Amino acid sequence: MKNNRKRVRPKCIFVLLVILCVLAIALSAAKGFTGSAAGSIVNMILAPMQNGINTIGNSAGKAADKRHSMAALESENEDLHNQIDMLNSRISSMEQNLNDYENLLKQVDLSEKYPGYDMTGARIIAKDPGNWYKNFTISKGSLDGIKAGMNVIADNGLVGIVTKTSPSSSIVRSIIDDSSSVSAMITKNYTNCVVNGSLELKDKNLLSVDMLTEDSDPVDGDEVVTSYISDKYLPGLLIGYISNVEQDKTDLTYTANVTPAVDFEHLSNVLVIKQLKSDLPDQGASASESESSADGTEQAQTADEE
Amino acid sequence: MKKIISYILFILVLFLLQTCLFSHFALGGIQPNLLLIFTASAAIINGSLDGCTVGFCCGLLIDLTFGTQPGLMALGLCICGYLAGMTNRFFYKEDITFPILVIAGADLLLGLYIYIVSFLTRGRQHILFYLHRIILPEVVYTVIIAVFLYRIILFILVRMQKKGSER
Repeated sequence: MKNNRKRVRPKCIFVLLVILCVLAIALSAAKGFTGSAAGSIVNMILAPMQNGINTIGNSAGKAADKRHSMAALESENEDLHNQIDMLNSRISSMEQNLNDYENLLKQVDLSEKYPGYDMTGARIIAKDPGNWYKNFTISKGSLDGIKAGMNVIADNGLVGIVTKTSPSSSIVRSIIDDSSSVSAMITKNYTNCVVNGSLELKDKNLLSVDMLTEDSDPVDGDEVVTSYISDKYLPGLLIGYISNVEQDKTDLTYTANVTPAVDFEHLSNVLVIKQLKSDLPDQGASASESESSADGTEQAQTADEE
Repeated sequence: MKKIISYILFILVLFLLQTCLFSHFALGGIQPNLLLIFTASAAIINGSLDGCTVGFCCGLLIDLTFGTQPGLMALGLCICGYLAGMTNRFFYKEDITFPILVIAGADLLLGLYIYIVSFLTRGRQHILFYLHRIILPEVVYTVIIAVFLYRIILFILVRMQKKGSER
């Protein structure tokens, strides 16, 4: 046994493994091979364990956060109960308004703008092991109907996009990841731009915005949402608000930052929109669909847009 | 055989700890790299062969779960493991300073590797920022964890080998 092992020279194994890696990298670069089958098997095995350990981590992390003392929680609970009552009453009045609103929209044939997407909630169970990327694992997978390319939101703001799925978990790339870029627009004048994640700006809780043209006229505080021309993101999802506008030397474009609407530091639950942009029906069909599927989720969307 | 099982268990447990637990204890958004500690430790204790194989497996696990480019992390950790394994001839059990230095070196190397292959290639040129904000803090945090984790890894791996050779 020992003699056998001595005959295997480390250099040979090393070279073999390096070749394997390079082959995989080349394959993925050339043909889009992502090893998703193997990945989903690994994720399937790991998901239950991650789920369990994350619960411990969550509670430990919370214990470390000494901000939440008992008394504060109790008073917060009371406040929240009051708020629920208030919001409930507001929801019912909003529902009334919404009906009127929808009727009006129908008349002007704009109702495809905010179709009531089917959504599902999920918990974040693991995060990327390195410090370079901002991906995370959520507790729902293809068995729950999650597909790669679905948009993920929280607090009514865009969080990211599902990149991989396994039967019981999926990987989400957040918009603050350095490799993320989202086609967006400024709501006040519908000019398009591109919102990029940036590791350098992450500390300041900002994203960078490119391709702002001269006529976009950005001002601090302008709302930025996902654009219609994006082929991955559903239109009209809130990304954040413009800040630090600067005019470029050429005077033709602006650069700016966006403060994301979502608090990525304290994110633990997210909503996955079970509607792929590529399957989004065209205008004629969607008008009828959004009427039939108008439900609670739509209110949040429209309320947010108002 | 026992060694392989203990390797697999180590990789799995450390991977789960890192993705689920240590993300809650990140200091300034930086978490230690447990899988690198294990790769480097296995390499120091058992040589280049174990180092590059363990590194490859750890990297593959990260690639398959979180990676977008399969093979990138596997290659990086494999190289780190192999290079760390070259210091195996200076290894003796009682010394702790030297292995910690090797682990720090390996983490620095891995950080630079990741920066070069996945950030520099996308035109992110501020190497000083990344060095100062990501790579060096990670090295420091990793070294602090490594002081404890290395002893545990050493204890278990050496025990495994003793039992293995008795048979």
